Amino acid sequence: MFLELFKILKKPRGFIVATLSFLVIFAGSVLLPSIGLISRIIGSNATFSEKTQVVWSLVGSIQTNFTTLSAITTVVTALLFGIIFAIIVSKVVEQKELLQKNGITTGTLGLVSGVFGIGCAACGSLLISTLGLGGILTMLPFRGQEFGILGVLLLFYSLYLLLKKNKDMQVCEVNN
Amino acid sequence: MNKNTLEKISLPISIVVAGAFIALAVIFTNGTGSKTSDPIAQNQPSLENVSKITKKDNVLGDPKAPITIVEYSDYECPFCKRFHDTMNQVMDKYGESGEVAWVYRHFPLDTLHPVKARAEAVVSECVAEIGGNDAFWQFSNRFFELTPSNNQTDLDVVIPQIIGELGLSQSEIDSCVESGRYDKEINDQITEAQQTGGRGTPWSIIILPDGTKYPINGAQPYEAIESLIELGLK
Repeated sequence: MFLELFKILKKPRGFIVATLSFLVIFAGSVLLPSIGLISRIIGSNATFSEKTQVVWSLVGSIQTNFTTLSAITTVVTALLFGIIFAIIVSKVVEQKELLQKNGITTGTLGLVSGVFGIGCAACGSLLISTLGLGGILTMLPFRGQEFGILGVLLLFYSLYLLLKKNKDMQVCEVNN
Repeated sequence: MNKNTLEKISLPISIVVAGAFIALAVIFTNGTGSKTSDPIAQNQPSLENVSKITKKDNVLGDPKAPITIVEYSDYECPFCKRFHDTMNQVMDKYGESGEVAWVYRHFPLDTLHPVKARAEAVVSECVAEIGGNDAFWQFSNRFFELTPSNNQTDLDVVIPQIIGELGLSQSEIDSCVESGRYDKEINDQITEAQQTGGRGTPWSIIILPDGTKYPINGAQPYEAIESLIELGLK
């Protein structure tokens, strides 16, 4: 099962897709709380290098604006998403088989759950409090970071389903 | 719809759903997303709702400094504790030279840190009233040093300890707290934090010499604050 994964990531296309997806999801998660600042900086009359410097400096918030648990779940979510996306792209391009619905759906749920977990960053989960559900955080032992953990688990399950499907023999199904 | 069709469309649907959620997250978290000509009149959160510095404010540095950082903070928030250190670092570099003023306003999150965060905010205001501006900052620095955060502070131990260290009278502080004279001011600051777009703590606004305002959401690293200050000083 993992040999197949290794084969996909060993190819330049698989490696590049996985790396780029990881970077996009990671940067998106870390920079999401600062989207208001970033949009204002981009629209300002600062030079390109000044704008880049400000945005780049915000990436450091993974150390200051996240708990250890939320930083770990953010990195793992981005990593798993990158791997899953590389597998999906590989299968689409090679057209080896039809994509497995369950794997993709679980992956999507994992990503969505991870998004809800983002922002345990500052006090008050970003998306949850935005939706006016801040009160539910007080009932959760990890103050909303459960969503990030759930996301990671779903992504792991999605990866398992995709790799398992890949391992199964290709047969024509009986159409009932 | 047969199984094959379902399987074929599941990929694009899943991608669209994921994209929609991410887009929603971006839209919901972008305070500047919907621009209106008069945000105050239309009750939209806007950085323009930040009030001017008055004598009531707790200010570190020169109040007439070209750059002002207004922070809305919660004494029980672990990220505020972290950001307090960052701001002290900022003031070490830019405070002495009179380039930056740091304004501390209260934004106790009652749902996350019931009773304690608000009580600590009131005590800090009483410390400022009785001991002056310097005492307020000494109180805040020492409190963030001692608090374990997340509503775990033992108020009966930590507060008297700091009050004693500052050489202030506990009974005077108690009587100030009981008078309730800072309750409205703290409520007003909470409302202002929300009206400027704050949805969590720490929430800060950096105001540049030309009046440009930038939102700082959460405990952003020193380098980010420094690069924004340098942008304003150029």
